Amino acid sequence: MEDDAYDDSQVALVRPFLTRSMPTVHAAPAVNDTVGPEAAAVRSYAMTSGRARGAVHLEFEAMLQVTPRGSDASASLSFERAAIVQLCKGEILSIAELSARLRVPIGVIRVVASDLIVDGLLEAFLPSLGVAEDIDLISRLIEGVRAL
Amino acid sequence: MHSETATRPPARSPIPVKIVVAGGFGVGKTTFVGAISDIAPLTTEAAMTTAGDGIDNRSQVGTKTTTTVAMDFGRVAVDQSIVLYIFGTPGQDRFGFMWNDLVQGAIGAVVLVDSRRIEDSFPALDYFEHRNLPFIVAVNRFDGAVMHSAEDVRNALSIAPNVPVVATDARHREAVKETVLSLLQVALEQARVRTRA
Ligand SMILES: Nc1nc2c(ncn2[C@@H]2O[C@H](COP(=O)(O)OP(=O)(O)O)[C@@H](O)[C@H]2O)c(=O)[nH]1
Ligand SMILES: [Mg+2]
Repeated sequence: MEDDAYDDSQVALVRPFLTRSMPTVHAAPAVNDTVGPEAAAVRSYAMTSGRARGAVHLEFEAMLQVTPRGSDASASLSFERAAIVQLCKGEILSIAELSARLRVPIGVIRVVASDLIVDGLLEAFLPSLGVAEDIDLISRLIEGVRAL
Repeated sequence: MHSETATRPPARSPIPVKIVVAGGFGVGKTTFVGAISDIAPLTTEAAMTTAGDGIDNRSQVGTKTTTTVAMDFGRVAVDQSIVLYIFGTPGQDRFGFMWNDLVQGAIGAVVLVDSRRIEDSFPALDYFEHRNLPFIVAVNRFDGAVMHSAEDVRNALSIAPNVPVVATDARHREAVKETVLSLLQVALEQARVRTRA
């Protein structure tokens, strides 16, 4: 897939791998049912405005890369958003890696990262939803693992 | 850990894929992940919400209980674009939405069995037997094992004939590679069946 051209519009920069379609950008915030009484949870609540899910569904292994706009914007971002953008400048990292490195629960990272995608500061490489039927991909995996 | 692959330039358009390693506490999940990962295993926390069923009478707060589950995972650059994530997750008697989230889109799962305490694998086995996801059973051999062969374990756990049961050693990279390959072969066969249908 060729992706040199960055879309600079307001559209979320999600590369629709295989069967993926563009996310619904203005999905209604879902009710949060993961927030407990601890201080960390209060902070998580502040980061996500109480949402359990963001507009873009991000799997644990979804990988994120900063956009040119994200690189320019990073100085003006709030703490958590800046931390994610900063980490994704150096390398392409998954939701799970961001969660581990920042020590923020995975559910919170998903929501904040989704917002950053919607704002055009990050773009995502999503796993193929059709992986169960993707003979080519599984064959490549087998070849690759054998050669490790 | 293999630092030469960690310094490989990142793929321009990575394709992330994942497999899940499930099993009881201390069965060797983190060791398994570490044996094949390019990076030292990382730990992340996921909130797991389970429907209340009256077992936990102290929680009067509602019908849902939230617990935090620690997951270890590693990452393997498989080729120029495929990045394989391997998630190690504890078996739970009650699986919440985070668990379903984790396995969604997975290539498949390895249910790791401790040869001394095979019953610890019941929850993970039950879960994957009722899911449309390729999985294999891998017996991690510990010293003082009661169960010696993969066939003993298959019989003791009444594992279906079409589910491979392999012996592994989570401490050894080659054994872990072979175990992952066994799972990928099952995934490939099932993909062929699915695309033929
Ligand atoms: N003898 C033996 N010990 C192992 C093996 N795999 C893991 N261990 C040890 O068992 C302990 C628990 O392993 P760990 O990977 O942390 O288990 P986890 O709780 O499933 O992540 C560690 O001390 C490992 O070194 C194995 O194949 N054989
Ligand atoms: Mg562990």
